[in-house]
Amino acid sequence: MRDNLKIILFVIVMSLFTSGVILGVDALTAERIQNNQDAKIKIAILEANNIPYALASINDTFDTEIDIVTVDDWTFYVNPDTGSISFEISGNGVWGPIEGILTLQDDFETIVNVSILQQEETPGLGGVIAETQYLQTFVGKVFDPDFQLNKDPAPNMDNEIDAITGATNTSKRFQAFLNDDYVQAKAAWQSLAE
Amino acid sequence: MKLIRVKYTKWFNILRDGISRNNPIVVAVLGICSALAVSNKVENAIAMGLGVTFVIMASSLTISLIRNIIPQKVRMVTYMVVISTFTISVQAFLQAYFMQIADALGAYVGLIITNCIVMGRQEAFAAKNPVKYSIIDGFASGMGYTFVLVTVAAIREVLAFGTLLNMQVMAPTWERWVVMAMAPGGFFVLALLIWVVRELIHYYEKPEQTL
Repeated sequence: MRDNLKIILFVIVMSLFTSGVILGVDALTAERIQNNQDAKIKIAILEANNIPYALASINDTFDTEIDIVTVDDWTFYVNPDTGSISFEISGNGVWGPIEGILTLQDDFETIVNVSILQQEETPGLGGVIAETQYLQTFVGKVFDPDFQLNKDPAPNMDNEIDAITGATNTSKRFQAFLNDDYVQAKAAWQSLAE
Repeated sequence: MKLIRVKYTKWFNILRDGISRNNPIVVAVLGICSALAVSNKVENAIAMGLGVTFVIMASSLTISLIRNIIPQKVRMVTYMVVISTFTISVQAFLQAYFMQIADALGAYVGLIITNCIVMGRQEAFAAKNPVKYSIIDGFASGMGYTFVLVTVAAIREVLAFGTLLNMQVMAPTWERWVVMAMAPGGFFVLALLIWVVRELIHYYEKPEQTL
C-alpha cells in the first residue's frame, strides 16, 4: 500500500514538474513562434510583390504597401501599385497539410508567384514543392481555366509545369487543391467586383 | 604519455563505445526509421543528429539524477514523459529561433520522442549510472547516430542531387539517382555502411543456437 502511494506521489510530482517545464518553454517561445508565423505570410507576400523590406520593420512596411480586402472567408492582399492579388492556398499533401501563398496579376489568371509556407512532404522528394527553383517554374503561367502539373515529356503549355519527379502524389494533391482554391477565390473576387 | 592514459579512462571508453562498438544504428540497429527518412540531405541530417543528441543528453541527465527515486513499476512511463518534455522543448526552440531548419525537418523533430535510441540509453545506462557518465554516454550515442546519419546523407545527397550541403559538387549534366532520394536508397546505403563498419570493428553476430 505504501509503495502504491509512493508511485502515485512520484507520478504527480513528475507530471507537475514536466508540465511546468513545458509551460515555461511555451511562455518563452510562444510569442516568437507566433511572430515568425505572421512574418512568414508577410515576407511571402512582400517578396512576391518585389517590395524591399527589413525584418525589423516588416509590420510597418506591410501595412503601408499592402491593402487587405476580405470577402466571405477569403482574405486578399492587394498591392495598390501593380494590382497584384495574393491569397492563401492550403490542402493536404501526402504526410500533412501544405500551406502557401498564390499571387496573381490583376487579370486574376497569370501567376506572379507561388510560395510555400508549410509542408511536411518527404524531404528531397515531395519536399521539392517548397524549393525556390521549383516554385520559379510557376511564374508567368496562367490558369486557363485550370492548372496542371504535367508528367508527360511533351513541352508544357501555358497552364502546365513539370510534376515533381518521384513525388506523384504530392504533385497530384497540390494540383487538386491549387485548382479548387483558385476557383473559389476567383468566385469571391468576382463577387466583389460586381 | 598522457594520450595513452586517456585510453584507459572510463569516459574515453564510453565515448568510443557509443561511436563505434556500441553504435546505436550500426550495432544495435535502433533509430532506423528516422535514419532512413532524414538522411537524403546532409543539412537535415546534421540538424536531426544534433536534436537527438541534445534530447538524449538532457534525458540522461534527468533520469540519472532521479534514478534512485524512480519507482520500478513506472520507470518506462517516466522515461517517456521526460523524453517528450525535452523533445517538445527542442521543437519549440527550433520554431522560435531556427524557423527554416524547423520547416525542413517537419514532423521528424516530434518523432524524436519515438526514437528507440533515446529510450534505450535511459534504460540501459542512465538508470544505473552517475550523472557525469550518463551525460557522456548520451553524447556518445548521439554522436554515433549523427555520424551514421551524416555519412549516409553525404552519399545519398551526392548521388541523388549532385550536391553536398546544397553546393553543386557533380557536373551539371549529372544524371540524378532518384532512387537514392527515396527510402530504398536509404536502405541500400545504410546496409552497406553497417556492413563496412561491422567489418572494421570486427563485430559479428553469433549464429543463433538451435535446439
